[in-house]
Amino acid sequence: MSKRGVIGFAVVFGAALAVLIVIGLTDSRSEAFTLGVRSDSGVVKLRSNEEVCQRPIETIERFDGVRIQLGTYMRPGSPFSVDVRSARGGERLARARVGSDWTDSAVQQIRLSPSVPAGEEVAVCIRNAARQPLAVYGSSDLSNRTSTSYLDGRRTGFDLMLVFLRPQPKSTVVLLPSLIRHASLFHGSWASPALYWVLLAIVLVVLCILPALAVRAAFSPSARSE
Amino acid sequence: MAVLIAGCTWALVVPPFQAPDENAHVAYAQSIAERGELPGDPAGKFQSTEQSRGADAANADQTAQQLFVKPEWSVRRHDAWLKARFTHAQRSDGGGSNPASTNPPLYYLYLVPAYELASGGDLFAQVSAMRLASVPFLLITVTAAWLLAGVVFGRRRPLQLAAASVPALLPMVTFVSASVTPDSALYALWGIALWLGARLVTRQGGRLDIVAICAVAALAVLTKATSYALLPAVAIAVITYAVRSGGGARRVLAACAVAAVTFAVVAGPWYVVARIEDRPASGQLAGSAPASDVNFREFGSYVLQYYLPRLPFLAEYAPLQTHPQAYETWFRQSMGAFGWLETRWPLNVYRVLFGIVLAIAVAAIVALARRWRRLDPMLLVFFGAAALVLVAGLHWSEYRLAQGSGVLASQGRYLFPLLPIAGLAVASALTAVPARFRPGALGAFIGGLAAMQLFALALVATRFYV
Repeated sequence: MSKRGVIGFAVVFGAALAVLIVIGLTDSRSEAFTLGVRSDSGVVKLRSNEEVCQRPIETIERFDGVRIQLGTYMRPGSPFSVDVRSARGGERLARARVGSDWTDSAVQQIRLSPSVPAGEEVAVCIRNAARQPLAVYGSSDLSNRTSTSYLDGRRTGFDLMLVFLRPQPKSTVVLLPSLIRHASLFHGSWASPALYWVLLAIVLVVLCILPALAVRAAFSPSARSE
Repeated sequence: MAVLIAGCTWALVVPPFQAPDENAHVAYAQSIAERGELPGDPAGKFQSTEQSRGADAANADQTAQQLFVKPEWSVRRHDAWLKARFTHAQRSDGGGSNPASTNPPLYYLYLVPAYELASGGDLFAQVSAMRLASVPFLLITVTAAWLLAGVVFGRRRPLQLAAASVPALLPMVTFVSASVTPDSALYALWGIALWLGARLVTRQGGRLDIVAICAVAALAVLTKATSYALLPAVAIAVITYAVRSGGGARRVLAACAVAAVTFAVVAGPWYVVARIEDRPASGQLAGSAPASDVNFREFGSYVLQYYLPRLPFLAEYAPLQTHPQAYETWFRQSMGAFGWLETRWPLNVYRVLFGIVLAIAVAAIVALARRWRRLDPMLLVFFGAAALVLVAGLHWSEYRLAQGSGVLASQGRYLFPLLPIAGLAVASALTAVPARFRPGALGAFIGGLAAMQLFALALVATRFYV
């Protein structure tokens, strides 16, 4: 009897664990990090040759792309450029020039060259290279605590919607070390990544074994004789 | 052991302040620990300067309820936070009104030693310590469900295991119980009260159980005002015990007197303190419309529309967002609504889970029907009173709050005090399964719950950390 209970547990739990592992190995995550700014509306109007920069942004992970949303006030797309510069020295770290092949208010994924390494403090700047104005989408200045946007050097009072993309999408299993590193932050100074690795191992083993033992014990002859 | 490990894991995986109202509960505990006073000072701040800066450092307020926002991932900013030093004045300048400040103080007093124990670390070490200190309540809830099944079904281990596995492994229960919230203590105290009540009703308990259940009910009231809903069921248990013990009206009166005195001795000091401090002893409904303003016709319409599709002759009750709202609030939020309710399973998962729960409910009803003649009707009355009064109270509160705010406030976790009864339903359903399939069915059920734990941890970890 108790064997059937363990088999029932093993079949369901084992199948679920296999599904979880397959999902973790095959899902594809392109987002390296984000400013967490909602794309509420066009918050900055860029006239011809004006530039808006969001800074300072810490690059949590290497990236070579950025997701932005621009509007053209119901006109066709127009050229613009995206620069990533050092927030301290101002030197250019990466660049992309975009032509007119896009539509009003489309969310765009802009590929930059070269990629920007982790650990930098950068400014991401969007320059309008056309005669017609551009609307850069974002939200209130409260959205991102550590950076804000500047229009030709003056604070705009808004944050830009910027999502940073990694060179190659990665699966969750590959990202496990960075997941663990992020999870260990802000749980107390004693909460190190090593502790989280140990915890992960323990919880996996415990959930695999102890409920099965409980089912076996519940149907054991000694339990039935009570 | 599995429950303990799972609870500790949840406590350390969920980012700080990413459980419902956790910031307010932490502010309450800090107010007691640092100021020696209950919060609610109209001139005070929602939370201390230290907690405000901590929430900023961890990006907590921005992350709450916003799926596209992540907590702070920067090691540099984390290290800068650890180097920040706060004076006692910056830790003790909270104490203002917040969503938790009208709660009774028992749970928060319990947290103070954990808060102090971790005072050598930063605020987040203290939050983690308080979360870990809440995990034992989960163990009590699970034990209470086990014991309750033992009273109802006798010492049948498979049925006890089935009943206990619900609070033990349902991920939302672990998530809530491993965060800083009085709900963890609430579930435990309701669990014990339901067990003691069942002992009294079935006369497996004695006079001491009357004292115990009234003390536990008083502790539950001192933990959260929701627990007033437990009192009618406790009264039913005490009176049923007295009547069934024989001795007539005098015995009933004596039992009621013992119950009232016990309740007064345990809960009385809080009423005195609340009176002296001029604060509501049961202020759970702060901000709601006065009871005299309630339109009972509209209230009835709201309750009907909560559970059933809106009938043509009923005026639409605006705050209800989905029909039936019960599916969204009671079911989906009980099965999985992590963080500030924004972290959910894919929709199809809820549909599958609903099918499973429906199958269990049908099996439980079949089992109940088969045992109808052997059932103790007073046991059903006792459980029914606990469940109905809680649900009715939640609707009454929600309706009155919605009158003022236009927003529905109930959450699935508000039903979790009834988890041991849900456990009984699962155990009952198991008895409807042919005996030779029972081990496999129970193993599969527990395997499913354990898998849900893993998936839920993965869901929460990927929502916040990748």
